[in-house]
Amino acid sequence: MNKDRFEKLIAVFKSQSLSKDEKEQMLKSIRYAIAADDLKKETFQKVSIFSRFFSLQIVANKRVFAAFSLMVLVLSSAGISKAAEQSLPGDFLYPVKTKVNEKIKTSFASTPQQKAEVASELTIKRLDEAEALLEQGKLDEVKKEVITKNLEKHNEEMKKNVNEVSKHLGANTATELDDQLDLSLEEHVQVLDKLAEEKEDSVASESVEDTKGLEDSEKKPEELKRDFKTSHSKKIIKELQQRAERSSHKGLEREEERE
Amino acid sequence: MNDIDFEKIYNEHADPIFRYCFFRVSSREVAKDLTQEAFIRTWRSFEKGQQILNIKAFLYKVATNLVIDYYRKHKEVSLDLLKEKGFDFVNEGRQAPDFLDLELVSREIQKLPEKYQQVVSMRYIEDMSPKEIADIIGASENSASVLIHRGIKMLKKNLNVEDFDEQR
Repeated sequence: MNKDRFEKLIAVFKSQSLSKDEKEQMLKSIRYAIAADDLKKETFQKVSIFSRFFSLQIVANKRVFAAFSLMVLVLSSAGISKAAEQSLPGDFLYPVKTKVNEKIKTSFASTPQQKAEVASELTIKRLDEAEALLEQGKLDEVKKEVITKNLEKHNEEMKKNVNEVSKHLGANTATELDDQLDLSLEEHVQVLDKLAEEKEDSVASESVEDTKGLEDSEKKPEELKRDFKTSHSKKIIKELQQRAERSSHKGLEREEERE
Repeated sequence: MNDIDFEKIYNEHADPIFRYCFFRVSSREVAKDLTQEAFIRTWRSFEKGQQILNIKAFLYKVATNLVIDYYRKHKEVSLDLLKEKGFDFVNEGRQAPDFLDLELVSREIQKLPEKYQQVVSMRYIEDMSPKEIADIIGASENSASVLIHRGIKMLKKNLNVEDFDEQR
């Protein structure tokens, strides 16, 4: 290839250009692409402003977010928790009732007075359960243990909060709370007797064993622990029985006063 | 950069950028696509607030990257394939021997290493000064001159161009 030929060919490359139409068409396409970019940006900005606002709201108020999630959780499990309300010790949903539903109820009670009221309500609930089980003939040792344990917990809560009420709102309000529970307990005397009776039986049978010559010091640690638990539960039941009794006495006194 | 500015820039640089791309890819359609994309990307860089001091240099840089990307993505684009499809030169009463020679030149251009293709096309197709080329490729004027010289020497040698001018 000679030099001139080469120069000529290079000139051909140099002469290449876009036609007027091609140029206009290209400019149009570029404008479209830019307009699409702007549109995308606008949409993105709107979305990001919204999401940023929303996320800021959440970050700014973690408590609101926590309460919101809890509400969603509670609402979504409303069916389960409602079903759990009807459950009895030994049922599959019973832990939901005591550990979820009642915990929520307790946490919503903010003042000592409200807390005492809830504890009182739960005490009665446990006794209702015991009654139901008794009716069905399903009140065995394990279930009694569950109920007594819960009764103990409610009793502690009750005492603690009644003390608080007495300190801050006066003895009268505290007595009123106590009376309320006593009055309700009165209706459950029978089941309390049943719970106490059974316990006494088991203690009695153990004391029979004691007389067989086994000294306390010779007892195995597990046995001592069980003894303690039994006597402790017995104490709780006894306390509740006394409350019920006190109430009936009060009732009698009131009757006498009226007469 | 407002609309009027952009249109002015486009009208001024569309053809040179198109020629630059065409010299590298030997296809009008591909060169058109690459040119269009080069302008869109340049606009986007403006929009992002990137400072562009030399718009011409910037456009060439973008176009160079697009050509490189194009070859990377289309590895199967061989000169044989282009030969099958035929070259896209606008046929303005050109004769068959011209086409055969243009094809030959195209093939030899594309055989050159990337950096030589760039500078040779800028120098010989767009008549850019070594200084301008140096700005675009980010090299000193001297090394740009060396690249140009070697590139054109290599191309002429491969095409068996007799009596090539060393000074050019």
